[in-house]
Amino acid sequence: MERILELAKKKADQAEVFRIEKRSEPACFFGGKLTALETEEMLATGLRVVVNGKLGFSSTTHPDEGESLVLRALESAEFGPNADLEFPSAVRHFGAGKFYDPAVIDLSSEKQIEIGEEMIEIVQSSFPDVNLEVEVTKEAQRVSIMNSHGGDVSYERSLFQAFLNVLWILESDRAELEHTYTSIKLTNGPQQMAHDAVWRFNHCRRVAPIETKKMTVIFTSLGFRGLFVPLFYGFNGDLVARKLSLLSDKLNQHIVDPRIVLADDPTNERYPGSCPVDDEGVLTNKNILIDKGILKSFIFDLRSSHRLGLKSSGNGFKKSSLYTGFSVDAQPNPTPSTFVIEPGTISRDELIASVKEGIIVDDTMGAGQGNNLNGEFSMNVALGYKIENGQIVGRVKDVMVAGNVFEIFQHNLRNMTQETWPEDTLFGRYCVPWIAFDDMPVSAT
Amino acid sequence: MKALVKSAIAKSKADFIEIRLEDGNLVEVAYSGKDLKKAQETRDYGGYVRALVDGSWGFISFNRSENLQDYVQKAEENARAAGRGNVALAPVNPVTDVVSSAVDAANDPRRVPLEEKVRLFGHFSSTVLNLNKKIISASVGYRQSDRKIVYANSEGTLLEMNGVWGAGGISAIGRDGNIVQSVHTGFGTRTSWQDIVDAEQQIESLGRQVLDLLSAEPARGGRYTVILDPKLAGVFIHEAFGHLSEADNVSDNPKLLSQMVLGTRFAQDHFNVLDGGALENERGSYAYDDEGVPSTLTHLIKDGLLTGRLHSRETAAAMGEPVTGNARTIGYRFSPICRMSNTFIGAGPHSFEKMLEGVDNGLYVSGGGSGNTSKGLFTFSAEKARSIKKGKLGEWIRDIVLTGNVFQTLKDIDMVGDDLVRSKSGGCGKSVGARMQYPLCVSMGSPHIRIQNVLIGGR
Repeated sequence: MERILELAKKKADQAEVFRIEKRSEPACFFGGKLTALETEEMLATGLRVVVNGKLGFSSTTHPDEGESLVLRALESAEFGPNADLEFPSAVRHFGAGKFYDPAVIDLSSEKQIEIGEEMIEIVQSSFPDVNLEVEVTKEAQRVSIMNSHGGDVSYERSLFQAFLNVLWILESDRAELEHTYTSIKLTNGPQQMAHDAVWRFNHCRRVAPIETKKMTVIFTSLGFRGLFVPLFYGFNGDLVARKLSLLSDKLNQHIVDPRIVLADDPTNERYPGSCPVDDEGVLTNKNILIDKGILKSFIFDLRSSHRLGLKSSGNGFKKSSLYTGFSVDAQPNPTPSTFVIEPGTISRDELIASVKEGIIVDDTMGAGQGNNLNGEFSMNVALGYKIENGQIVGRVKDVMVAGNVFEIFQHNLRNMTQETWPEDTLFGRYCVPWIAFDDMPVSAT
Repeated sequence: MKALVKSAIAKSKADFIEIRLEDGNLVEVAYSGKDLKKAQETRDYGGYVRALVDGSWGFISFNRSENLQDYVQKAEENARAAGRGNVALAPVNPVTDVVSSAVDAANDPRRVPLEEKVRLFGHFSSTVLNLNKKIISASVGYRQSDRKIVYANSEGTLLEMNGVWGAGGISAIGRDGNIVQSVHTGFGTRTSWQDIVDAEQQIESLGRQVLDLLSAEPARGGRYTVILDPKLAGVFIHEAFGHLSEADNVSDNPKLLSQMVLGTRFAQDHFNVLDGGALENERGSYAYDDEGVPSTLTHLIKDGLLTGRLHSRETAAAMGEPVTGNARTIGYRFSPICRMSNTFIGAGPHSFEKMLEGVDNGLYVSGGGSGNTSKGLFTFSAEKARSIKKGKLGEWIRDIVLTGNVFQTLKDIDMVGDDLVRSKSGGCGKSVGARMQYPLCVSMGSPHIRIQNVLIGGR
């Protein structure tokens, strides 16, 4: 890293080297049976340079590449965007600290297999006919970032992850659940996820009729995925800096119901996105975005914050688009670590029992396909259940839910559960309660 | 390099072992309106070893290739730790070959400097922005991947392959009051930068399309007779049917397999679906798949009957069907899995005019097609549509969503056009476990098709 930084500094006004080393080991089960053990070793390096006020970037996964990496970054800077940023000078080496659980790293492959078999047993004991795909993965990461401002940070992190796909084929119909659980620490989250799958499929045993009308809609933490995307667009510092976020000029205003407290929280080991620094070497902090309904803050990386004369919130993560995860060949963008909505006051059972007529939206197809900039969402309910007189009466099919995320949080919020669950989805990571909204239009197609 | 790979394989004690080494470059250019968002070239170098021991797989991927022997051992350890399994491989003949894709030497996309790529796409973007006053933004991008791959296995196959895949896209985004509409065109090449330069000819019509859509009415929900244009029909057959033809989606799933028995009637006579990497210079073309199996052209549906599916060596053995050369990986971080290559609906006898005849109240739906599928159920949004009234094309319609069950929808296709077109850009995504493997270079093709009784979402 030092060598690449020195080479780059000869030609560039500023330079930053990012390196990730990781080892990821999934145990993979198909058709309910163990089929493979895998190991992924990664060593990848990214280089950003500033030359004549322009930002350039390149990356490599070749362990020995130096000069050609620098040349590519310099060439990229010839056409790059204006480099409205300054690299941070923090020096911190966190080592294997708070975000590293030795119990994850020391997990034997036998134990990984055992956890996967437990998950399968939990689901199959209630649903012997379903098709199951399971992965149980342990991962160790080491991230190091050095820059020409003297910045030099590094940390180690563990990840414990389980994946569950349940496909239930019925006569002319099917129900499918795809769910991922990720934590820094070793927990019984995978087994809990399997128990939750049983709860879900128990409500798919019969189909409940439904007609188009307004009713209560409960989003489970998984179903919240469809609301996460337009919500995140509002807080994205890049869109705020370009005045494209509809929250751009609403700081310190009441934007939603006063029961809502929303934070971006990289500090909790229970959450999948937690880490001590972001991918630009900025120290991370818990950042309150909405406090009792009042807009308090946005999420920024170095570039977007610099444009507004603010400090980065430590949310510059290398993620190239909404639909892809970490990627070394992506440049940092404002990205949530984990969005957290504070829990409500009643239990899930009490919430369901309090609803006269409504649906539970548990998984969606088409999330993120609405006009996200306007806060709009529109989704097909892939997995959802009908509530009548406080009881779940069956699965709903061919149902669409649409609306504006900020409007429903302002005008329609009914209640939130005490229970929360950390979700690791394709779009991003968050930990939220079940959230109920009243008078939502539900259309049956 | 080849000598290292051969000696590492020779020392292995696994029942079967394969090694892939890969060195690739990715060039990306992207504009959002006037702003250049991305102009970069990155390198991806690495490899994997996959070992089969007692019917279970062990796999390791890596970036440091100097200790190949250690990775061979680790892959074998992983396979042993997975215990006794029932994986077997269909037999194939070992091959030794060197394959370079046929690039036009005077117009090799790899030799065009980054500066020229930035210039051309900047020009595309400003051309879009100047189309008309309703255009508020453009989204324009290019992605070029070139790779050298060495593949060898313990049966004696040894391959060197290299090729280039260039693809671009241009979106025009227009606004009228609160209504925002966008239209897109894609293009690509395996052989010549000229194919990318020529995309300029596609820009002008985008301006007209945006205006048409901004003055369009939103769709009214209901059931319609629908004609799909080749682009949307290609997306439909890829997403809704093609993924079901990937043998690893059904081989472990007896219930789904019972709905995919070869010989079952899936569509009306004269309806054909094919897939194959053996087509020349298409986006999904290759000489050998990522297990070293020669590419083929497979009839998935022939004259309305289900006749084939897409296999890796593992699924071909498990199901007792012939290999098709469809085991593919997006790169060295993933084991090869069953994937599509160039998937298309075969051309039929009907002209577009003939399809319009007799449609009393229908829709001509075209373009775009972001969608979701779940093992037979599908939801697609289309870019645009026009009404069909008494056999004549009428007004423009926006915000179209089609939903259905593919098994029924295929049977409802009553006419197939004579005008097959294949896509030149785009990629396919498939998840195995929590990891999405995207984008894999594929093409999707179809002529115009007519479908009865399609459910269109709307207010």
